Amino acid sequence: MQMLNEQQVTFFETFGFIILRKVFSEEELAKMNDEFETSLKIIQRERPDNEPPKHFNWSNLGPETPFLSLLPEDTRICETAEQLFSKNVVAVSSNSNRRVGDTRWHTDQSHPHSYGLKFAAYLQPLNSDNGAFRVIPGSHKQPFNDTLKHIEMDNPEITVPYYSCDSAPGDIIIFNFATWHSSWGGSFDRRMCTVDFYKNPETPEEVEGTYDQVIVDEKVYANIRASGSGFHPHWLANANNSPRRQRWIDWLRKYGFVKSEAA
Amino acid sequence: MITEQQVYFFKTFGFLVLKNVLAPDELNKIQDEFSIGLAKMDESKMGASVRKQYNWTNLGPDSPFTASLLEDERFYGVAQQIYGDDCMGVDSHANQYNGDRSPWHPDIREPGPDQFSGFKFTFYLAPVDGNSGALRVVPGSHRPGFSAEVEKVFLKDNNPGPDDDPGLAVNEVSAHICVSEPGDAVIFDYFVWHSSWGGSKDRRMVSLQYYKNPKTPEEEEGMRQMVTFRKNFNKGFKRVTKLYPDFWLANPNNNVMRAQWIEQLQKWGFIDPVIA
Repeated sequence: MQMLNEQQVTFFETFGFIILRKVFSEEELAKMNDEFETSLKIIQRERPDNEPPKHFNWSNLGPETPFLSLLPEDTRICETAEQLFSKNVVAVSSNSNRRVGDTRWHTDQSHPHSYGLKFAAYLQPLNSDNGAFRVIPGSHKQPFNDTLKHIEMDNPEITVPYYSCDSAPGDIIIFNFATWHSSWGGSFDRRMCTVDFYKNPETPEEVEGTYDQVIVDEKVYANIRASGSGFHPHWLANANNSPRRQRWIDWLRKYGFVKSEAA
Repeated sequence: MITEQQVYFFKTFGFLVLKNVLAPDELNKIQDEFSIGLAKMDESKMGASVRKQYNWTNLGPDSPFTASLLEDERFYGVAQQIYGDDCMGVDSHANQYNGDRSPWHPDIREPGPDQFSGFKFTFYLAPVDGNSGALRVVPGSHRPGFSAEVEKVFLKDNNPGPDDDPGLAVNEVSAHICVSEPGDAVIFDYFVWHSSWGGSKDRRMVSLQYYKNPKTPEEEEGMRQMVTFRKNFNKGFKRVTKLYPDFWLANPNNNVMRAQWIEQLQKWGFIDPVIA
């Protein structure tokens, strides 16, 4: 079954993002909020009491977050990723983020030949004034993408043009890693769950990009990961013998995202 | 004059907002001249689209101040920064919109951006925001590749899809909203996709228009195509095909810039040759 209609696919390909409304039910949202809150409390218990609010990122692939750990295999998500990129996309993370304040303009693409998609579900209602996801529509495409590197985005005389992806709990924003995005005016407790997919490399340049992504991911998570590894043994055990998950695990091992000792 | 970063911004995104470029006394003069022009409009001159638009030139005797803005260095100086010293000031329009939206469109599709370059300053004479008729732009959509992608998106008003999925309303397209106060200017490339949503029945806008002087045979051909394009545009507003009023062509103050532009416009065929 095709998750998106033809116009939605065209929209995504044209603008580099799309908002899907009311994907999660109230019951599902309650589970997501509970699991998020439980994990956050554990992390905060391990932090100094006087530490100022900061960005926490943690993996949802452990046993303490059963609903969130299954999001990558939720057909509403993985089949949409397959429709937008290809059947061979690989889920590489299911994360929670407690974000603090502004996020400056950036892309999530680390290498010109590394391609990916992010599904982002914000757990609070957000608009352009309180931290909603902002995008520069169409900025995932070259040469537009590269020209933006020369815009002085922090120059107070420059107002970067954007579209604000106002969202409500239950919505999902899907965006291409290469799409320029930011968030402004957010609170010190902005909550987001994400699932990332990488495109299976098909050219020598894309293979190089994928290996480069391993290094970048290690560096990024070393900076922002609040605790634990991205790939919990519980998830890697694949107790239900999901063929899709097994394909992903094999791929993650092949490229070095999962180290052998983590198995 | 604008900064190098603003020039780069314009070339990257296809538009630029400049704040407070017109003084209150200048705005008053423009408003007065606008009212004189509007009083001469009747329904027979209204453009046939949901915009319900009146459009007339400011280069006639009723609007000498607005016409003079084309020759004001604050504006042609910006055009020179973008297109070079020999760029051409080509027109100034007044627009009154009575519809609640302007559907998505670029101002020009043919000749393409490899053959022609031009932009307009727009001045909205009342405050406008996202729900009251502000200009909406898809940033970067003046580039041919991106423009072709936007062309594929179904739009309810002017590029509808099938009945069960007619496409996006104007305000559903991902876009930047150019919030503007009287005195501000929004500059945009003719090829950038733009629209407006939620405008009042008396939304007023004045524009100044500049072209790059052709440098290549392809650009020369593009400029010739623009002559036909503009004559057809005039027909859409039930105007005579003559593009320039005698008042402006007479150049009574011997303005040097205007004299150069008239010479260029004659050369390309925008101004019919005088028959002796």
